[in-house]
Amino acid sequence: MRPIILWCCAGLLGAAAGLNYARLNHAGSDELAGQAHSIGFASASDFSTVARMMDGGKIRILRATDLAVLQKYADAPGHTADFVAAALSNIADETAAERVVPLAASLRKRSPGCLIIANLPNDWRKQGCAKAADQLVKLISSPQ
Amino acid sequence: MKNIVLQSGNREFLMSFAKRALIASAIFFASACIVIASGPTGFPNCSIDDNGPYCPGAGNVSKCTYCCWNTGCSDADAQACASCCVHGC
Repeated sequence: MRPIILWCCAGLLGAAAGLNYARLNHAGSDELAGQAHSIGFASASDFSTVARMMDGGKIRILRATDLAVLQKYADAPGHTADFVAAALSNIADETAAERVVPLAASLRKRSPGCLIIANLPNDWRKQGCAKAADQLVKLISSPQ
Repeated sequence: MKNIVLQSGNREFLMSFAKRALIASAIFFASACIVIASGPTGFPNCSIDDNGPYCPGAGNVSKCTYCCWNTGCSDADAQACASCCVHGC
């Protein structure tokens, strides 16, 4: 009889812990979605993709899915542009940087006051992407 | 149930320890309040607390940038703050 009671208690505790974990996880995703919308991202997953690129250090391989998310925000207003530009500033591969030059130029034209985009050519040069940096400078300075 | 009776020596020791802990925590909170009340240093037109967990200097770029755009800064200050998050201040 006693072992049965113990197993029942353990089961109840496990279920309670699982429910609590699920509740906390749900609250976290709600918070993330709220943040994403307040910044101007269409979804929490877009925001978490960009945040991962911002926080993850140097990017040497730019995945197609990540690039697609960044390109969605090529015409984003200032506050969203800051996030996308911060993600771009982590790119440390010449080929990857060349792929995002048009996106960076579009962001620059849309948000001329964004200091992160303004500094993007310098960041890229420091990270060994001089060709892409030159292309970006040329594209920005060329008249439309 | 057993009654646990503290001997007078132990009780005095515990009381003096509690008093010291109370005084130490009061000093800690007072100094924390002074640091917070001293306010932001780099961005005068918004309520960024430079000592906040996600604000410039904390190392988390995305949360820092989020902080810059959600504390009532002017656009120019938020841009400068966000740049701090990426390049340092």
